Amino acid sequence: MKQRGQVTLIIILGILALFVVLFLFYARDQIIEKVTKTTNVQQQLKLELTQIEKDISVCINKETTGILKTLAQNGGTLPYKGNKITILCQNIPETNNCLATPLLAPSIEKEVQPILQEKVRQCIDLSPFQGKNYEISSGDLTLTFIIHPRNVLVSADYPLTLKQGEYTVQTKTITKEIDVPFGRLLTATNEILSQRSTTGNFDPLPFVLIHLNEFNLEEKKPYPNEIYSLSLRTQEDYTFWFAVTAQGRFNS
Amino acid sequence: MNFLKTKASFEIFLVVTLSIFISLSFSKVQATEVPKACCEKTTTNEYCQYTDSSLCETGSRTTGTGNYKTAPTTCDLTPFCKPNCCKLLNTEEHTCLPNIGTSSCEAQGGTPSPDCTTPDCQKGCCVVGSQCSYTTETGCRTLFRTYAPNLKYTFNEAGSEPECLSTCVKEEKGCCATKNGCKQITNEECDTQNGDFSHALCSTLPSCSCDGEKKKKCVEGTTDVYTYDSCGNNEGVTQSCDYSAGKICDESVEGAATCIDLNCNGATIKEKTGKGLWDSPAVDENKDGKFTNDETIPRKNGESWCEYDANSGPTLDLPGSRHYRHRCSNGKELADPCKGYRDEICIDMNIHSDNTPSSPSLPSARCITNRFQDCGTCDTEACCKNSDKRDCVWISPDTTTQQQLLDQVKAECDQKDEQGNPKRECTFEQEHTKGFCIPRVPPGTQFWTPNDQNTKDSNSKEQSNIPCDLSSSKEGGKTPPIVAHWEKVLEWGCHNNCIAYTPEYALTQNSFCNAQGDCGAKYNLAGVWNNEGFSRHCDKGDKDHNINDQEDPSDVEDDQVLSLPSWGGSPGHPVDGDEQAKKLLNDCKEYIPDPHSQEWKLYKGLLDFGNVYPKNFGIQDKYYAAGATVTPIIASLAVGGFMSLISPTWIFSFTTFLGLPALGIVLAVVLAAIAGIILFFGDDYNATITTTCGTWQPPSGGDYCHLCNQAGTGADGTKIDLTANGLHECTEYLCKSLGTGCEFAQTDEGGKCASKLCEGRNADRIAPLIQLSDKTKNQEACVTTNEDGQKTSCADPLLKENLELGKRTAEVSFIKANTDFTLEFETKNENREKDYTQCRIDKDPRHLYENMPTQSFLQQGFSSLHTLTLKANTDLTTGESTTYYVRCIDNCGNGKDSDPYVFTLHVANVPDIEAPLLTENKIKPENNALIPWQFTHQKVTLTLNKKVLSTPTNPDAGCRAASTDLPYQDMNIKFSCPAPSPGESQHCDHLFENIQEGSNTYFLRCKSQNNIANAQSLIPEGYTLTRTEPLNITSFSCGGTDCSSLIRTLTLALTLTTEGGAEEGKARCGLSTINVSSVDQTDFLFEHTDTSSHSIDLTLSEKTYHYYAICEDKAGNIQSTKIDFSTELDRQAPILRSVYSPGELLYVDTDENSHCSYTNEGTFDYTRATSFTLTGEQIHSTSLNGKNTFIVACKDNYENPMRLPITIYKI
Repeated sequence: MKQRGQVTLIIILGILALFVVLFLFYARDQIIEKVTKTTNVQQQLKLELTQIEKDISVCINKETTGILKTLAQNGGTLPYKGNKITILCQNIPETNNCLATPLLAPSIEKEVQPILQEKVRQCIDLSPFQGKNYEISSGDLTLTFIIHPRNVLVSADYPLTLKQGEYTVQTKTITKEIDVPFGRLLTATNEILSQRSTTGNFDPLPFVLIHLNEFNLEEKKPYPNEIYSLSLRTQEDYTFWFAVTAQGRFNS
Repeated sequence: MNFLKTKASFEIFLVVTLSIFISLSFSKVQATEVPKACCEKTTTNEYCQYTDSSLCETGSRTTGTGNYKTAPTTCDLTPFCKPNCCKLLNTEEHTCLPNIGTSSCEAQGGTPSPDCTTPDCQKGCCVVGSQCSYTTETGCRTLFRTYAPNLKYTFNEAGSEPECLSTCVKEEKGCCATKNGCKQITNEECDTQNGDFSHALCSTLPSCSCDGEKKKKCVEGTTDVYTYDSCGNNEGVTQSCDYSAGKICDESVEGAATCIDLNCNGATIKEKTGKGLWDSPAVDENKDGKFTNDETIPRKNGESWCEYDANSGPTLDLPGSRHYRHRCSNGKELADPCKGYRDEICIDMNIHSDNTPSSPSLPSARCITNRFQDCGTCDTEACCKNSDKRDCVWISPDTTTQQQLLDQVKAECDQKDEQGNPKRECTFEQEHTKGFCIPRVPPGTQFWTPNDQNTKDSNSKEQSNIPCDLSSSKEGGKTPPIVAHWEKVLEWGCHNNCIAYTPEYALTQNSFCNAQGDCGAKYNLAGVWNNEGFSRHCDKGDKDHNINDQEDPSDVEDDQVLSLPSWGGSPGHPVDGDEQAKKLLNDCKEYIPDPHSQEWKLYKGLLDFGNVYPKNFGIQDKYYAAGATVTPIIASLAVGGFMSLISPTWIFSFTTFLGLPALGIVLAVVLAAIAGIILFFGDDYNATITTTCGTWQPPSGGDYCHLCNQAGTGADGTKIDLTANGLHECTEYLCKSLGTGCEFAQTDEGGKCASKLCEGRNADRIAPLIQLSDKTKNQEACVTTNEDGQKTSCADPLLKENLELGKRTAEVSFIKANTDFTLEFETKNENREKDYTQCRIDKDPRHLYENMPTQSFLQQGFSSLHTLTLKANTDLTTGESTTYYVRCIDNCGNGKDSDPYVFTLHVANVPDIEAPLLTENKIKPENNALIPWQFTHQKVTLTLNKKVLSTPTNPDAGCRAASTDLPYQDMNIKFSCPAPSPGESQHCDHLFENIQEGSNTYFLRCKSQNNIANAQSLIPEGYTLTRTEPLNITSFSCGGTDCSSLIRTLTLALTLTTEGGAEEGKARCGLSTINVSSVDQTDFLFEHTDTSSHSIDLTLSEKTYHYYAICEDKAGNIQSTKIDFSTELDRQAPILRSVYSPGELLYVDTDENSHCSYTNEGTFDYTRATSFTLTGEQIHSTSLNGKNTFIVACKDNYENPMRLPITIYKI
């Protein structure tokens, strides 16, 4: 009896195993298709998302460099060679000294952030990604703009979701490093302003030598004012301009 | 005489009254200007700005209390913006900044403080582990708190940031092995990281695995090249770059840091650019005595030197000239201009590294303020030479030539007669006041009237009137006039001070005039002479003293004149004695003649200061290190100055003759007889010679204006480059000095000077010539192809004919298809010099300049360069030729009537492999458009970027549509595509029929002439038109009631409701007295519309109104309805129809809706009466409350009261 029972059990287990094998064989295509589809859909969505992130990155780069160039070159009121230069030190009458307006990174960051955010928002064009075989939904763009000595960091938090059926991919925070030494130029500018505002004069030559030729610094004097252009020796394509008003014997 | 007095008085009256009138007129002009003020905050979020008061922010502060302030003064004088030290120690900056306005500081989060020299503001070197930061102590503590709370706090003194950074590099470090890897840090830092410290390099420790490929890098704050191991650890200097020799580390070539040369080697620069360092013909840059061999001299990085436009020094600087400091910086020659109008002057010196003359030295120059203002007030040498206060030179008779003349006069004065009496009496000024104090460098003058003189800033210091007149020699002036003594025996002869008539005297006086500034007669920088600033009055006698008797000339008995070289002093030939007085008077000219004459050259010799530059004037610049060597120089002789210092008076004593011996009695008698004749027939005359020194005036004309902008030829034919190889900018001061016809303008290329003369002599009447720039020609490599669009060699000519000067046509072939083409040219005058013009371009040759498009070239205003990028497929067409016509005019309008310049541009005919595309997504109606319900047909128009015309070889070209996305050939709906007009885009259209209500999607594809069809629909997801449901006006009401009933008010709220349509009833509605076809044609819109409920408040009169309400939705569905209503005011009081009282209630019925009230006794008054409990309609009720008498009255809804109340008694 014991033996018969064991045989029966083995037969039952054998039949069950056979069913399992047959079922797996039968469902093989569906399982493989399911796995493959998951991989394909997710891969496609990820590729699309990567392209969108790339486009956002391009927008950040374009708008940030544009806004920084405007700040550096023609963000002010003093006309010079087709540009409007920012006056950072206004002459104190009857003296050679001037009243300075410091350029500090936090206040510039605060001023630039909303403008840049709006510009980047307008630049991002999702229309090429719409009307495809997935749904695209986006939230509000939030941008942070931080000035460092050797670069500018822009982080875009743009909640974006691509959805196809049950598959979903989402954007992460996109951080772009803009290779513009804005912080260094600001520090140097404030150093120049400190000297110019208190002593009533400033000589670019000792400044350049003291800083071991780190900067290119030129001074022009459209009567009676002074215009300075400052760039890094190793990165001449980005020049920061500012003006100092001075007193003169004549109106010009 | 009386008449003259009256006339003079009238003229004075006129001058005074006119002056007052003119000044009042100007003050009115100024009153209309926007006043300036100090804004605490501007509307553009800037703080402490002295600007137009209209830009001041006046709202309440974002932080704190009160409003932002404004003061009509400069910011330094206001309490809210006065300059302070701004301590930003608690901000991210951790610094102190001087001279910041109070509010500006607070806005940055700083604390205003009077002093920036307090210890908390001093920066030092903060050493955090192996890193250094140049910051304040507060900043350092923050760094430690944030990054290294466990490290020992180190804050050392440091003079500069590089000095601080270099200390970290030098600090002894070793390899610290931690679980995170190996780092080259200090032992102390390693301890905090629980690492194993070793003095060896990490790359030498096998456990570190840092022995891979090493890299060379530069380190901030140092100049040398350093090696880094494969783990990124600094292993020390691998190549030392000697900064003092102009060498520095550079890693612009990635991964290959090396020492580069920052020096400016003139020879090398010349080899590379064709031009070396600027070599001014007026400056001997290398001080070898030669002026034209300095282009290739080597200059060290940091070296600087002075450059002048022309001779510089006392009396010498010319109008328009400026001083410059040139320097070698980062391998380039740069020019730092000193302040204009010579408000600053350039001085140079040789700075030694220590106090020994043999120590290494660096030539250095600097612009310093020209303190010329009070030179004229100094009467003594000590005052004049006080270099702490002023920059002046003392002209005194202590130079060789002047001393000789002085000695000669003194010798004559010392002669005595036999009695020991002086032969003549001489008076001298005191020794210490014998001289003149003049500016070391004459300042510049604004010798023209500025255009904006009437609108000048009142804060500007106006000192344009340099006191030229100080040098005038006149009665009552600082310098008295010269009195020449003439005597007549038989003829008039000049005996004393006769030199005042000579050209030499005029030149000398002019020289003193020149010394004051741009005064007197001078050259300008183009070498043109103008003598209007100086004049001399030559006294030639009066009617009683005919000293100018040309028929009977006599001699001159003045040794000063006779010793002049031109009069017989060596070299030269003596003037005939009888002709001397004639020559003296004939040579006396009012204005100094052209100095190219011999006299001018002679004069220059007399007052030649040699190669004198301000560097030689003994100015010690405190900015630079001690030990600067300078050579003081003493100003040389000035004959005129000498003349005015001494006033010898000759006294002839006849007593001398009376004391002669007896033998001479006969002779004495004869002499006495002669003396008698002289006394009887003789005469004498004191002639007064005055000079006037006025402001220098530029020469007339505009021939040399261009020299301000570019190199050219001066008046004497020599080459002049006032731009110094492009390093010096053109200024208004220089421009105006070149001629009265020169006009200065700020352009995108900087300040430019051009002749404004369009009529008369020197007028510009030449139409501008144009010449294609190298940029246009150098496009060959990018755009040249053969006709079929296949690339050819870059050497193949792009231009069939270059547009060189004088030619009017150019032909370009072949521009590569689908490629932009840059057209750039320069405009020049007939002398091949830059001509500043405005240019326009057009395809139509018939258009004259004024009819051509205004904004085509990149440059907006007058420019010598004109650039335009012609866009492929817009301005240029593949396989076609386009001809453009260019016209340029200068500021005189020359070129307006000239033939245009013609550019024919051939674009290569490449095979078109691109399918057509919609131009800027242009499809009408646009995709997803909503169309009205009644439109079952809709015309759709496509605008394409290329032609799709069917041809015999390609009959299928065109555009097609289908309701499903099919290949082009399978699509069944065909568009009509007519040939476009020249310059227009390809359009195709089709009338879609049987459009169903709801969404209708079509797929569109086109096939180009080149047989390329779209592989995908022009709009991939399909082009959708949505035919909307009809729009309905479902209800309207007049004041909440049916409009058909009589309206009893003159103010009516008309409301309307819409449903259906494109957006669920949302529509715009308006009212019109006639039935119109669009809401835009209605008389007026509803006040509240663009929704589904519309309303408007109408103010009416008593009459019948007939309106049409027209509503239109986004799709263009229109629905209208007629609204008629009549208005008539109710002027009738309500009538009481019945009164009844069932039980404890009183009922009153009126003929119209009314409000009824009552009193139980006394006189009825609406204001005090009690309202019925239920009232407002036609039946009114109230409780009796036990009362028997009710005095009742009612008012209808239009406030018409019953004339008399009615008394009701309950029985």
